[in-house]
Amino acid sequence: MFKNATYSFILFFIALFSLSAITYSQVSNTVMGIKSNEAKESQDYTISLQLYQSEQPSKILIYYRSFGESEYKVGDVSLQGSTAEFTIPAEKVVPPSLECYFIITLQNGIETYPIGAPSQAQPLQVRVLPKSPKDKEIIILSPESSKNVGESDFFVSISLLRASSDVDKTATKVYIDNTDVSAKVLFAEDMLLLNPENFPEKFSTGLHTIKVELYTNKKELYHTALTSFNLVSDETAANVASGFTYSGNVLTEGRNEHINNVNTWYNNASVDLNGSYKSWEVSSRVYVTSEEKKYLQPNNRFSLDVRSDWLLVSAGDHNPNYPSLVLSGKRLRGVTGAITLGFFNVISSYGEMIRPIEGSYPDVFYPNRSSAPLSGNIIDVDSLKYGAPKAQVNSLGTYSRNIFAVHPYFGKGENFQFGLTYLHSSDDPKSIDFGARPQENLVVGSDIFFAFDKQRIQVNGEAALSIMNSDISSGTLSDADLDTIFKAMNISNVDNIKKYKNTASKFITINQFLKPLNPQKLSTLATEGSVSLNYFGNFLKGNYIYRGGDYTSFANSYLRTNIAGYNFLDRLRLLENRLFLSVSYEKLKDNLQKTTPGTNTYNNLSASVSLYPRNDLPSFLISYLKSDNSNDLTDSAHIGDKSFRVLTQVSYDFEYIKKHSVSLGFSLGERDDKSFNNFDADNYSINLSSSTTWDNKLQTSFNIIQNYSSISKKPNPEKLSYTSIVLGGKYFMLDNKLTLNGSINPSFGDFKRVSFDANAQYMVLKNLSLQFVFRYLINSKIPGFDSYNDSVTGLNARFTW
Amino acid sequence: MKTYYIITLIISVFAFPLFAGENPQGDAPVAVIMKIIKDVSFKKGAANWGTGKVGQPLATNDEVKTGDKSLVLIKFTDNSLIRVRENSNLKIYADKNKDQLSKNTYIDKGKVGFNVSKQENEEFRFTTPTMVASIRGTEGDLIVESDGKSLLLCTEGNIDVNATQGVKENGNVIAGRYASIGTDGTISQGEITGQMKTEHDNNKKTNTKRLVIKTSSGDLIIEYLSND
Repeated sequence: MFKNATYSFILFFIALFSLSAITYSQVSNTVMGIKSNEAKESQDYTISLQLYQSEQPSKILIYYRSFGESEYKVGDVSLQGSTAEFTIPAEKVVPPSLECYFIITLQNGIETYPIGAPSQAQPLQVRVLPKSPKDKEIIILSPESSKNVGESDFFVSISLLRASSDVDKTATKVYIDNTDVSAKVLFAEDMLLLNPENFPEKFSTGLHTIKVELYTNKKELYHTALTSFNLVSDETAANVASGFTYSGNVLTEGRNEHINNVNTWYNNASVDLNGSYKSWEVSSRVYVTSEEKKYLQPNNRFSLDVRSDWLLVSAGDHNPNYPSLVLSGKRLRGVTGAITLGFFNVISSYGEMIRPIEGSYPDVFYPNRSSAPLSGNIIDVDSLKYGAPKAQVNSLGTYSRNIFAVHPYFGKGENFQFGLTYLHSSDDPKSIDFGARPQENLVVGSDIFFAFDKQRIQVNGEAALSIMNSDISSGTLSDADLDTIFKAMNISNVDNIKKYKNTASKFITINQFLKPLNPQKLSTLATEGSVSLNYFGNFLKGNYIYRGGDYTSFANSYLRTNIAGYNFLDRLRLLENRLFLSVSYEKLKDNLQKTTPGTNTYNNLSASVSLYPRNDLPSFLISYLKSDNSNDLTDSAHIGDKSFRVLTQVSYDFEYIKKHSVSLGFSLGERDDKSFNNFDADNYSINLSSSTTWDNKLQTSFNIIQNYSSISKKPNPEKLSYTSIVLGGKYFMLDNKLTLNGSINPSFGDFKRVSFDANAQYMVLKNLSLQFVFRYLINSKIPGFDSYNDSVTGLNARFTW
Repeated sequence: MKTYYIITLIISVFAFPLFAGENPQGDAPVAVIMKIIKDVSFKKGAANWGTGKVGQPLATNDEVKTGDKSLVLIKFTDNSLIRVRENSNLKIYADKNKDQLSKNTYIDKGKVGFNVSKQENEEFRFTTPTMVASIRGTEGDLIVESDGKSLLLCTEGNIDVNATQGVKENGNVIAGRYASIGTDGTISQGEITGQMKTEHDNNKKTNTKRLVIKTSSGDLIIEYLSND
């Protein structure tokens, strides 16, 4: 009896404070939290960081990888006000999981999220739900997913033709925007129909969701399907039908932060305009923020896209897509044009990748070159302008960096594609007065793709060769310079060399700062090739990579270089996608050009078992990752680093009084460092979260994380141990016009803080909403320092048409 | 004309028993009207013609016809879609066996675009006065002239076609080709021309134009299918 009461109490407590979206409550001074929906196989996965703005990050990078991959992909996270958002592309969203962490560049340094990731803390683990064969059992005929639907054309039609015989079709529940409308549904054998005249209330225009729940003959939940659609006015629908449509929204945000007893205002506004006519689409975006500063890379964003079946023109701030070794994940302010004809296609881009930022005004000018000492901060300046050829600066400026890229390719990539890529990127030495060592980069590459047997067999290959000049300030060597150099080498006939130099200098500055110095060593070659087979639910992929130590592409500066090796991945789907077994192994080596004394060898092994049984049973994910990094040195430079991680996650959707989703995660990591430093490390964390929807009006949330990590740094070992709890709730009022959201988040241990969040959103009109945001933080007192509590207050308005 | 009716009757009698295994009982719907432009009529069994409307469920033996500059989109319960263009008449037959639905759509005249999502053991057939086409692929067009001559375009997959009159030729149409079925039972095939491809692409669109007539009691808006 007592046990039952306790059990009920615990379940009730969990259910009372639960969370509907995935929310992580890792502690951070920069990140309030992360919000995202569930990751689903082969669907784009958007993850957004909610930021404190007291220290506006100048840049945020996301590092993400699928399970079994050892190399993280890097992407520029889009910063907009207090939100930073990134969409991981669908091809990277594969079961059983993906992991990611963020590197946040602040004015006074760098912070990772989660703090310490990836070496001292676990990156974020995101469970990826596999495609379920049950998805095919629910066919939503109308409205079509993600399509515009006119108000008078709106009706709901669901086909259960393919539903299993275990399903009681008459017990099916249909929800629109979380409102149960099942009672109004007409059940006609395999078809469920819901006509608009059955709705007493009129749905507002805008985005809506439909959820369909199938139940077994035993009244147990069998499967759930979700879809969304955009309800538009009949006039808009008619415009769409006549080939012309438009939409837009304006968002403004004002925010005051009272941090460390200092008040700061942040204001930003964005306008999005979209239009289409027949097969042509136009979209534009303007985002302006008070955080735009001359001394930082741009935070404002301007973009215009025009696209059709065969043409794409992007202007302003955009991220063009090229073969990944050459250009990947970089923002470009310029123009990209692409023509897609099928057999022949071409994409080309031109613009500014880095804008100029002037260096500090010199402290000292040197009237003649000989009087200037040799130092990194002694630079050449315009003697006509400043009366001296050399000067000393405190901080060097950043040159404007422009790129030009072109990628012609043959084939659409369904069964065959072959392409060539040319990229030229150069700093503009005239863009600033106080800078040093402007650089230039040239990359040529090729890519090829074959697919057979309905893409079950795929062969991919990519190669790129780079040339980089690390200082073009002196320009290309003159013929006289060559004469002098080769004369000293007792080489008299240099006409051919001059001819080659003059030809090559049309593409890149030729001087002594050019790399590679010895092209035969392939130090600037990057290449990779893979073969994948996908038969009988088994996906097998082998991949070889070679990236020379000097390979450089300014348009993909996040690429890991000086590495070569192979990796294999095998992912087996069993029991109709309910059981996944994955294993991967990788062996890589660095020091490809033997430029350092020791060569590191990296061995990485990962394995995972994940089980997604019926809806009324918990799902499990267990993964094991082991890495061994060592070099061939025996002295104090010896590296011997062994580490492992075990991750488990159990998720369970169940019904006890109300419906709940509970997730429990546990991770354990250990590092054994055999190097001179002996930085052994331990880390574990446990995370419990649950969500409950009580009725159409109330949702509650609960999340607790306990984290412990230690590094045996001598003589001062570092330890971080904390517990963080989030209790929250969301309440819909006034026919869903008003939404109230609140939470309390205390953190204990080495990180002490309590934060309160309150948020109210009111729909003034169907297309106009106001949102009030308030956050209060009680910080722990640090002996010897003034300690203040912080607050954030903001108001947002959004208007759509 | 009488001959065609007799032929149609014979086809109906002999072809459709193939689908008679487990016909949906009574008025069990097998399809639904997704979209209507301008003038679309609907007939349930032996009842009189009425005005078609969006969301109207369709059962076996139901008929649909379109007028000038009109269009109706019909979706079957397996998510197969047919676009019935202007001045077309069609009748729906369907046979359900467990979770499988085999369909046979009879087209008297007109133009129909199709996008089929069937399972391996299911059938999707089009029947016209001159042929029976079994769709093994996913996408194409069917044009039936007033004398019964049929033109079948296959843009994806392939289609088995059997002439039902005269010499009763048969053949297989693969993606990128068309078959013309004459009233004499001959089948001639060829590559889809640029014009056919353009027409096919246009058939997939449902662009409309609106005619607004201002009256003293308000605006009268007539929406019709644009052939632009």
